[in-house]
Amino acid sequence: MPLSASPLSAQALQFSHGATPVLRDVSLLVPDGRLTVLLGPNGSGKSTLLSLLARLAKPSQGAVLLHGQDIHQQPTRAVARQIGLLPQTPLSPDGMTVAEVVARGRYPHQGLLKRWSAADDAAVAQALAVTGTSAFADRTLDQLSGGQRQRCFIALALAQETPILLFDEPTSYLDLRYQVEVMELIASLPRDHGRTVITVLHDLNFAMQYADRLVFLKQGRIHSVLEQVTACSAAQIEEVFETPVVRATHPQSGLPVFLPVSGGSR
Amino acid sequence: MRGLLAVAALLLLLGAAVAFHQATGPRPIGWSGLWQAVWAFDPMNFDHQTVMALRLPRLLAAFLAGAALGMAGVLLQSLLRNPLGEPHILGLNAGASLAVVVCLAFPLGVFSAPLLRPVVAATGGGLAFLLVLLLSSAGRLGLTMTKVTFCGIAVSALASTLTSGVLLLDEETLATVRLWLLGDAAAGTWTTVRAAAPLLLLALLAGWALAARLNVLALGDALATSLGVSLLKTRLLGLVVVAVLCGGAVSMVGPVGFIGLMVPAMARRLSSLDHRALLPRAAVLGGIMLIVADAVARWLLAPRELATGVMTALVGAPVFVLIVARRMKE
Repeated sequence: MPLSASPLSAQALQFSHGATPVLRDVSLLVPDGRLTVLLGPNGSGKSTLLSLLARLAKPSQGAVLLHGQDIHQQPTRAVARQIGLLPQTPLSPDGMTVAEVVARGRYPHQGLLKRWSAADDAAVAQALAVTGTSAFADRTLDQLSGGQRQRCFIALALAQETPILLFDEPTSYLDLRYQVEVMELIASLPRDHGRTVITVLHDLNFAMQYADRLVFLKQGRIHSVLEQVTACSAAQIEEVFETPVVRATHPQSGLPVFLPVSGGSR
Repeated sequence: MRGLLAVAALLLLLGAAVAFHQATGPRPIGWSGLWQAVWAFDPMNFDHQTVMALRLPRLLAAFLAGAALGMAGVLLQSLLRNPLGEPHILGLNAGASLAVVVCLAFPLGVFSAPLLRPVVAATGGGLAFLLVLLLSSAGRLGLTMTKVTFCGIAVSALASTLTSGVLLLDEETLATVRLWLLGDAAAGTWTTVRAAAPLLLLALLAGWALAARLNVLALGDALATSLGVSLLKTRLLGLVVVAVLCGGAVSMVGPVGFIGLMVPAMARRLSSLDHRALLPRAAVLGGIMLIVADAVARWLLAPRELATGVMTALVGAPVFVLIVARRMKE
């Protein structure tokens, strides 16, 4: 394998909602220590793929392998110590403080006999520090802005101390400022903390600026995988999203930016 | 610190409730009488007999049943994420009563034995609740708060009607269960307390053991799964614990309603949302509430007595309406 080891992989996944197939024969290797972004039009199956990787659902055929073994055949807590998730819409019970929410990320490390330890305290403190949420650790969730709340749930996933993290559209419903805030944080996880991150993103240009590699889905299949973001062409985007675009270059980062062509829809 | 204060306040309240409960009743028995009855029991002394044979089992039955119903309310509300989750509304109490009445009216061998009454009640309550869950998950929207509540009320009505039907056929049984069927701590005797207490203590501990999972479940199904909580296993286990709690309570004091509705609402305000603290506090608060309800029921129209269940309904029904009204506004 040219890339570093791949602890997580999808093997010929099939999944349907009733009679409608959502994923058809999806295989994917997730390389270690990099930020993989799943891209594709609505209904392409990217969120479904993420939920199968997070074992929120069982594929009708195929398997998700973690260290070579089907995740549905491993103890649920053992998997929870390997894979963390930021769901699209976590519930945020009123009256719960940020510190309490983040502390719940330690659940898979505890047991009936294993009480709260110094290691748990350290993990929570570090998660709060990395996400910049320490300052409002004692505030309740209903007192936070959308961006702060999102960072709090990212802190929960970090406190779980899993080598692999999955994010499902982490920037949706956020203002630009908070989108940047959250994306900067997510991009720092592989870079500074050696985590393996897979995220579904809606915003093409955020994907271009932050991803290490891109996985495109279309109609329930993997359309293409780009190991270099700079390799992404206008033709590629036009084919996946069925919309004409022009490619530009970000003046600062030099990474590609895609702009829609007005009045040019087919 | 705040937690310690809450525990101290609860214990103080419990002491006051026990004192109030012991002070009510047609026969005035002072503290010394009570003390002697427990520690220097004289079987020829009428006061001692009253304490040991009537008041003590009644007090214990009220406390245990209140504790069970209070914890069952928190468990139901957290498992269903529904603030109206309550054993009485969701059909558990009516199902438990029906099962007990059927086993009393018809000779069903070992199932009619008093020792098995809590188990029979738990089975009846559990089956009724299962029916409610099945009915309310039908349809495209799945299990919504409104549907669960309506199905619970419908199944309760059905079970109550069947209970009345059985009792009409069998007046002898009717005479023995008339008071119990209204929900009354006076129905608590040593026989029923002895049969239910061990089972209830086990169920209370089992419910408490679910606390960490319920904490995680509060963050939604997706996050709970990714944190390593098995949704199906947790819900099934919770269902069994709730059924045993309600069955044990009903077997002693009959279908007392609304404790499971009022207690969680109060306990959440009093304590943190952490189930490890919330569940035991809800249990103690439930015990206190049923003891007080029973004492007030005896004292309000003394020398006549109201049934405990009438008392809890008088306070609980308006609370139910209030919670529904507040939800409607949101």
